[in-house]
Amino acid sequence: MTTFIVRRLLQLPIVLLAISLLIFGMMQFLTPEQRAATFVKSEQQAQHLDQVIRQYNLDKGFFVQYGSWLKEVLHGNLGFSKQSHEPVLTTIAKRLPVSTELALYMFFPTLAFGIWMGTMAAIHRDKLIDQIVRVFAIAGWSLPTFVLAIWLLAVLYGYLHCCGIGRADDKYMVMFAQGTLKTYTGMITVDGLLNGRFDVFLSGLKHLVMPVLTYMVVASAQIMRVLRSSMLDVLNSDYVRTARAKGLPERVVNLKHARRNAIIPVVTIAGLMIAFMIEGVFFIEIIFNIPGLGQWSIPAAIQLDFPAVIGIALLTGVSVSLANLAVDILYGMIDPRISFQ
Amino acid sequence: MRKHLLTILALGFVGAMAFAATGPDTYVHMTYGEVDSLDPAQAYDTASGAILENIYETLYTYKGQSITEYEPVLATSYSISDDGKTYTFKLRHDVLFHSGNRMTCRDVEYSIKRLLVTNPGDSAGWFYAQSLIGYDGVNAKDYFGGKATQADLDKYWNAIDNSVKCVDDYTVQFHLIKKDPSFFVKLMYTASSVLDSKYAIAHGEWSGTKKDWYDWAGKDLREGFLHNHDAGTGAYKLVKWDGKDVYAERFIGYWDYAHKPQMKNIIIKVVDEQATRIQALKAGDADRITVNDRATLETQIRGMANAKILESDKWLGAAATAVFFNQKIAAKDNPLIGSGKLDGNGIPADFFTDINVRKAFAYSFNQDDIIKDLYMGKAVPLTMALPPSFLGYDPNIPIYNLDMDKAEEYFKKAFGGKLWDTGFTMTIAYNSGNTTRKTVAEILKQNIEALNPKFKINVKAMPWPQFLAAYKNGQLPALVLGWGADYADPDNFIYTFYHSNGYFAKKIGYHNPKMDKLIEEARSITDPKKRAELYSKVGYLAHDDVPVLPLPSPTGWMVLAKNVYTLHAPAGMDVYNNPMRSGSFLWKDIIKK
Amino acid sequence: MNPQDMKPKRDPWYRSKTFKRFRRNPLAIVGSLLLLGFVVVALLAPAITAPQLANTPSARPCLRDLGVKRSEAVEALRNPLNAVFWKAVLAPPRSCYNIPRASFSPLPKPPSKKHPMGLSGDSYDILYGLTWGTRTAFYVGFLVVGISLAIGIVIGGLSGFLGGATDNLIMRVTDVMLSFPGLVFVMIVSVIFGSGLTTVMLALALIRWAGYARFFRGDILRTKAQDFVDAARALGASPLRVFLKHVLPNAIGTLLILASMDVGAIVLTASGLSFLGLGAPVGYADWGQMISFARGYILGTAQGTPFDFWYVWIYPTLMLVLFGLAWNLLGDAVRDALDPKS
Repeated sequence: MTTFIVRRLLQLPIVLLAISLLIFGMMQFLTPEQRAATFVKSEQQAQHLDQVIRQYNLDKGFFVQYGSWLKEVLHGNLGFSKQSHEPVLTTIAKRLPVSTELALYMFFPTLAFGIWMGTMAAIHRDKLIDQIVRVFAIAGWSLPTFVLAIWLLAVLYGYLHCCGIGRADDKYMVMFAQGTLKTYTGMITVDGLLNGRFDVFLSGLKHLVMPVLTYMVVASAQIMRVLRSSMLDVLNSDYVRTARAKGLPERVVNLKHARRNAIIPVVTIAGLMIAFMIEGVFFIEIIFNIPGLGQWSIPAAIQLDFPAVIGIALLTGVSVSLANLAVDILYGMIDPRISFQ
Repeated sequence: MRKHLLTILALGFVGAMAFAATGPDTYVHMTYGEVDSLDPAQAYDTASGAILENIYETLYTYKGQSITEYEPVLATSYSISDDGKTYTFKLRHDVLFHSGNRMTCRDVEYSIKRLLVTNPGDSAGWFYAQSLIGYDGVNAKDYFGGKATQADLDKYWNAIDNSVKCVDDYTVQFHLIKKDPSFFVKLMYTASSVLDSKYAIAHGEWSGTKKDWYDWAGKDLREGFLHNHDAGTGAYKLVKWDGKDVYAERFIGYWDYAHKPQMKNIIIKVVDEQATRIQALKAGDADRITVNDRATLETQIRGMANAKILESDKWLGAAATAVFFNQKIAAKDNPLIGSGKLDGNGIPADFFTDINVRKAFAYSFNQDDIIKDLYMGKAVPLTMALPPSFLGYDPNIPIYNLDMDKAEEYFKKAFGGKLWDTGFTMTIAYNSGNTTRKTVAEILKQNIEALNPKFKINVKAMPWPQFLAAYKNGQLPALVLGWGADYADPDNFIYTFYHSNGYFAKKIGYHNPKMDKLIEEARSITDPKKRAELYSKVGYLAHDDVPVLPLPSPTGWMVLAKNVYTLHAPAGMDVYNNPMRSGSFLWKDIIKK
Repeated sequence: MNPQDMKPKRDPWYRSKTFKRFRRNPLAIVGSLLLLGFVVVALLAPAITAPQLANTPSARPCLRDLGVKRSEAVEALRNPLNAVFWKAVLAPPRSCYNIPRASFSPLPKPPSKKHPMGLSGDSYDILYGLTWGTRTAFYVGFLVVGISLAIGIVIGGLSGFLGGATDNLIMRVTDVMLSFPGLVFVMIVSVIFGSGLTTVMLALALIRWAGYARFFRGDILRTKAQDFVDAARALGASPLRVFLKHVLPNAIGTLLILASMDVGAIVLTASGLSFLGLGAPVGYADWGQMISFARGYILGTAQGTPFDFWYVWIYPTLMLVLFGLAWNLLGDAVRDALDPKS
């Protein structure tokens, strides 16, 4: 098991290098003028475009640019993002906690909701409940995220005033900006508690309601489907039939025996969900105005801010690879039959 | 699970008990588009300008909503020499920077010299350099392209060094290379804000001496200290800006202590999604929001209980937009002009040099459609490429509007009648997301294709980078371009659009010696009346020549919470709106009732 | 003995247990009917929207390219005996995919006789955008699945067939592809090669093949281990022959079914990207665009009710939901039917 982990860890840098080369290579299809578009936003500002190109060495060769970039990366410098006007690493450090906080709050309710729906559908297979759950889940999944989000926004925020956009109420954001409230982790709810301010924590939660709800509706269908089919497999297995034959109550069989075994594929899905979530977080951050990684990297990609794009690709590469690693290890813990050869 | 969900919901409702509203001394403006830089010498966009005009100050500034009346700020008075080349300003005493340092002439000298030294390619430095040192308005590194001799550099530095001089601690003098009637208003643009030189130098900015000046030439100031630190004298000081939202607070040591601003905290929030901004206004979390288009204003905002829409026919932006006919289209590898010949499958590179083609295009464009549909009736047609509020704008010049008969007549005359027989195919490109450009292209397409089945116009969306590259390389045959005023002088527009050496005119190869002479003459005199006459002549000549077709200018609006007002508002208005201010009004003038 | 004989004998498909199971599943029937409906709408798009084509000035290029006069358009496009009908159904010119704009007004207009589903933001005809958008949906879905499946089969096949170091290398490459968030990949590709439907499809295909390759490789390894393959090998068939004749046909079936069920997911992703502004240019018939035109009007008006502009978002949303539902119900049903345990 240890060798397996070490081997997987050793692959990581190679994967990352491949990712960076891939993106950096693709960026070179652009002409220097096109890359200079990062810096100017109107024709008025483009008066001295040649100057801009020279200023940022946009006319140098691929290997010169990639070489100098790689050297910097190995020194822990990911370059300068024009979108955020600061070093990429600084931006990531600032925004990663925001996205992580959002993702954490999104992850567990969605997973739980999906598991609950999957269980219901499997136990009541082909009955009305099954049909309703499935249609609901798939409809939620194919609903355009924006339409759903905008209705939540209108009802919960514009009409009921019960949740908020952004990260916390403005008065707290001002206090964080001025330093009256200290920033420890960059996650509002955690920092609120560390400052001993329960009201800040609550305000943070309040601003997470809409993103979490949106994501739950959109993403839980995947989990529901996987759990339903694997639970069906297990319910048909000899093991469960035996339990049933022993005369155990149906509820105990369903929950204790069947679900525990059906959860294995869910671990896989949970691993995959991390990659999915990166996309989900991107969309949601934009609509609900949450200053996380997505809100920075989508415009950065559109603006051809390639240090930012490469940085975000590296980051997601690391996260997904690590998540896969964690999933593999979890497998071993849940299902001892899996060996690591 | 259901329980969990309910808990979250319940918590949300508890928090919602109190109706959210910004505090009585806090002002929240939600807008879109990120601030580019808070270094005055770098910033050249309105989002940055809206912050800078509040945390920095210039020597003089626009008075209230006027663009022709000015009031002293960091100066107290000024005088111009008889030859119009020397400007002397008496400075205000007892002005404190946010650091606590006292402002003297050294700071003014440093600020302007820094502007001339650095002058990055994407900044506004060019128009100061043109007045004060020449060199085509380009910084030393790019002017010489790295091939400068020491003598060249010394000469360049001396030009900078001689352009600003301190007579004493509170008197500064500017020496222009030639007469420039717009220099005084140029000094009101945020780029010429006065910086705290001691503070800046102490934190690693340019030393202010010849020693390291060349290192700073053309440098991207977004990587410097002042990019996100404030060294100003303004009524507000920057609390925090980390690339997105801006937090600022009232400056206690402000020189004009008799007029203490009412707002203590200012928050400028970047909320790119318009629907989210609207909901925030509705929920009472915003005092002002930026609304992009008239249709949204009319449907989503009008009728909202706690919001007000302020608008006026006089609120025309200090900007001009026009359709440009490119007279020197780059023919090489250009898919936008098809075959590149007059054979029906393309257009020749000199397509628009024929004035009949330009006129035919102008008569194929429906100005009323744009005003009625795109701006829902709230726009005025422009007779020339100059904002109507500017000196010299002549409302009596006729405009081109849809006239299918005339369009046909001119198309039949074009290229000796050949064009009508062969037909043509061309592509009008726009940068994706720009509705105005798209609509203009579609209107032209619809009307011109209806004239003759052999006329084909394709409308193509391009991402901004591709569009900019095609623009730079002169590949776009017809395109829409806009110019926002840098300073309140007609020359800023007229020269740009119509002079053969102007930025836009040069780009599209428009050249008329008669026109150039008129513009240069207007540049060399200061008498407003005479200048206005000359610009009117320019307008008539431009109508005959049609190098560009000016597009209607939409009237402006502002969306505010019900209780927001400003000082110095004109009678019958809740706020003033100065088109030269990026934020329409200054934060220090905001009052909540 | 012929190794083929060791494979289980099969009834004709319509009499098989699998099909019976499928037929008895009500959700499967619903899914199939929905999908059939979409196919009909896609095919008959020109006939359905003939009046819009004839009556909206901005649809002129389409009629011109079809070679039909405005006055005769409705008749020609609805008459299967007319050559124009078949041209429009089978090979419509590209200009027909541009949604006609009734005017240049930004405001939506409610359903009327001329525009049965109303006009969306910027006066785009909703009926037109949705019917022709169905064509785009199928086109995008099938093409992306097709390309990624082709790449996946070739690469996964090579991996499974050759084994050893090649297998290892290929699997590491799929690791790289799989650890890439699809959205970011699509954004980069479409920004670099110019945003457009083709680039988005290409990007989606280039990111999706890895999953198929993996699955196909696993399937091959499983099939390889089966008895009839061993038998064939024992009879002296060359490895390539064994692979092409026995391994490939057996492994490919499951993969095809699996992949076809991804069509719905791809269309949803593509419409999401189109909403973000990555994909077809503004005005191209595509469901994501229809949502994007509705963007500012989903919540109705401030003076009136929130449902003042219901038609701008309900129709496109319905299309997307039903399309996703159709493929998913069908997919679940096929999977259930194929599962011998149930």
